[in-house]
Amino acid sequence: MVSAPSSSSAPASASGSQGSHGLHLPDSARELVKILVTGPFGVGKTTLIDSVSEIRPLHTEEQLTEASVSVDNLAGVRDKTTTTVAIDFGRISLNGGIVLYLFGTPGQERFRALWGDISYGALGALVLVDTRRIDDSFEVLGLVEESGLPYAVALNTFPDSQQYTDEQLRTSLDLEPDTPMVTCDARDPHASVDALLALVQHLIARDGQSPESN
Amino acid sequence: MPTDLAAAQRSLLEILDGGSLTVVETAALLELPVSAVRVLAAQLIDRGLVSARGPIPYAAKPRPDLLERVADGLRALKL
Ligand SMILES: Nc1nc2c(ncn2[C@@H]2O[C@H](COP(=O)(O)OP(=O)(O)OP(=O)(O)O)[C@@H](O)[C@H]2O)c(=O)[nH]1
Ligand SMILES: [Mg+2]
Repeated sequence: MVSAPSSSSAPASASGSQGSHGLHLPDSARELVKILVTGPFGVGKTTLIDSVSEIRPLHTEEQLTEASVSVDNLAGVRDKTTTTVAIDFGRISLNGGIVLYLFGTPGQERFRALWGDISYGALGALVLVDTRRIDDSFEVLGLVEESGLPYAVALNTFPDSQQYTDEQLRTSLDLEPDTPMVTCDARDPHASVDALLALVQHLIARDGQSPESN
Repeated sequence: MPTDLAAAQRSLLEILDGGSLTVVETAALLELPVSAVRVLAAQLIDRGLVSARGPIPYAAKPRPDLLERVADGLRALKL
């Protein structure tokens, strides 16, 4: 998040009786995990989060203020600019007190300054790709790779999508052989959960390969 | 609820409604920036109306079994 990472996950709770509507964190919540759902404009991020979230997906807009301070600009903050970044949140309570948060955010170059905050603490990223405009995905794939976040690719197919072979798509997206690539209709909860599973299984497999990472 | 609360503090209390929410969720629900929610919450914490539960940290370096449990949990959703 835009916020200081340590406190962005600190739940605030009102003293008194436990609230009853599904909005609140279950009492059983013990571990929070976070997965990023990213991809270019209009690819289906909000739709995917909507289809799997137990809460009405939340939407927030954070103001990003960038003060460009350069040595030869003594005024310092003269070039202050403000950008708005929209972030969607979804939440899924899993067995065993695990609460999975989905953070939906466009992976755009102009939000680079925020990317670190948004991806902080995430297990990995699900990158949505619209096969009708593959080129639009390069920017976000670049950001994800740069941040070192493990990821899986979910291909969103639209009625007018052209058919490509997996090999063609992997080549054009320049994916590593072990990067999962699944097809997913973001409107379908099952398909969306499957896409998230593909990512988590990838994370497990990576873990097995690099025991020193834990 | 005390009568001298600002409207924004009231809405925060109302949305918590005795339960827990993360700061980011609260911010989204109230359509306020995260920083504003943090300030509001701090004011309410000072007055003993809200408690900040120790942060449940995001499990960035998950214990080995956590990923397995996340996968199991996701599979269970599909049943
Ligand atoms: N056919 C089909 N349509 C989809 C799919 N996913 C999303 N859509 C549609 O595509 C449109 C855009 O989806 P959104 O979920 O708003 O996309 P987004 O990535 O959140 O877009 P921004 O927030 O604007 O970047 C909506 O009209 C969805 O109904 C899919 O898997 N298949
Ligand atoms: Mg959206």
